[in-house]
Amino acid sequence: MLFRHLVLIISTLMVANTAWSANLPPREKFKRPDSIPAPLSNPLTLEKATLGKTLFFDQRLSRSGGMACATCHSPDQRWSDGRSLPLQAEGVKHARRTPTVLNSAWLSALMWDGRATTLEAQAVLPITTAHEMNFDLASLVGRLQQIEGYRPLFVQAFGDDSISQQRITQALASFQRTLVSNTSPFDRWVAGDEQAISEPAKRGFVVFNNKEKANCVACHSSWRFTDDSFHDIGLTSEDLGRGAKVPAQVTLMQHAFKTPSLRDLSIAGPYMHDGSIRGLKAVIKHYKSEAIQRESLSKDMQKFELSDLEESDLIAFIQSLDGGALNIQAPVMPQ
Amino acid sequence: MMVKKQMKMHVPVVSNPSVMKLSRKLSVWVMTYALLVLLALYLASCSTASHAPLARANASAVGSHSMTLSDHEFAPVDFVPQPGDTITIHNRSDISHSIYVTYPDGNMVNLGVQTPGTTVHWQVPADAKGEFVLQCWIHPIIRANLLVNASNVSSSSFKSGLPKLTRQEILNGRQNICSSRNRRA
Repeated sequence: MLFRHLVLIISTLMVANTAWSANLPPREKFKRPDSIPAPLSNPLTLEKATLGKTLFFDQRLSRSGGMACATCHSPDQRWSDGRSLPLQAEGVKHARRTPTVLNSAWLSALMWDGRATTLEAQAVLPITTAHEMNFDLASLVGRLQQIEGYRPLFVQAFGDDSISQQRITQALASFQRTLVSNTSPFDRWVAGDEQAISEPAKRGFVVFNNKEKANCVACHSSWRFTDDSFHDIGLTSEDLGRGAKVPAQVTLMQHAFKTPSLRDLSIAGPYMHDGSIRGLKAVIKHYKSEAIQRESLSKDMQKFELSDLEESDLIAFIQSLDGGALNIQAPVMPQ
Repeated sequence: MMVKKQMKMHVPVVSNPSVMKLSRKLSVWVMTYALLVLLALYLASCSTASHAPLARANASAVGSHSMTLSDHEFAPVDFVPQPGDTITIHNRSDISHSIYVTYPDGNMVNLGVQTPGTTVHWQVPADAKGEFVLQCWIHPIIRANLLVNASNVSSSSFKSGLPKLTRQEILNGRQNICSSRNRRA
């Protein structure tokens, strides 16, 4: 009789375990792609990326000659700036934290409010924004034409030394497409190495995906851990975000911002579009219960409870998404 | 030795008549419950299997069509919409959506917020002709193009079949880029 009971209990546990496992998405959903996408209008070539890298690090792309793309998207800061708000953003209404440019080849909506749809279009924005590089592309073309050292780079990238706005943005976009996260411990686990991440990280993966728990995966999906979509997560900022770019009656987009990737995070933050939260524990606290309850709040965001152990497991999982800094050095500037 | 010891420990428990009676009762309850669950699951599957095709057949006859949202895309569209048809969109994903339709003249119609498991409806205008684009406010990647009064229907999802570099090429390229300072004046 006891044996029968044991069999029954074991069977029940096996069924329960299967059901629990079935709630987890297959690891393949998080598998890294094998190649970098690029538009037909701007095929990715090494020569264009090389030119783009030089432009990206060149402070002469700003009117003052004192700010490069890499000033705020620094290799040392995971291609962001580690600041809550960008340099020179003091006094700017609704200034937003500098997003990373890592893995931007896969983005279908760029900027926090999605106002650019391609990397080529996005490249123009910081160059021409008043509190950023504050330049205009016509003047920039004129300035680069005076720099002899750029000519061979344009020849290698485009076949001749003609410098145009389009070529500048295409080269910048090409370089950014080559900025791809290194393989992380999580990637190795997805690929089948069971020892690649810790047991707490594995438990954290369950919390991350569990609809009754954190359910982070509702928005932080795909191999980049973003859905490239827009959600109001209930921050106090009055910035309308995506809401200012769509018809006013689309309530759900009020205060909505693009979901950032969770790969290669700076563990200390700052986080969120306004840089208002530091530390992953504080982020979890916000999602648990501190979001402002309003009509535009994401319907996929529900209050939840986590034990201390589950919180530390979740953080261990997010840390397993870190592949480390890219080995990219600033180039010598052409003269 | 160890086995013998365990047997000894268990014998008094199993041989206790009241515990045995309780165990028997428990077993009966568990088995009954399990059978009921299995029966319910079986009936549910039968119900889905028999009704789904019928619903589709009816829908087709009365100018109604179904579209399905799964995570971040529409399932491929397998019908040709006509003016006056009703299109029902099922959200079969675990996330909420907010679909809007852009008409050929640029006007937009919002279909509202659609939580998981719910449906919304859109009626093709009686005078419709041309391309109607269905998109999601939350997830811009979701898109379906419907051609009304035309034979071609498509559902696109911005999937890129464009020039790509392999991972090895990426790594090679990165190394070359990193050493590119040597190529410069």
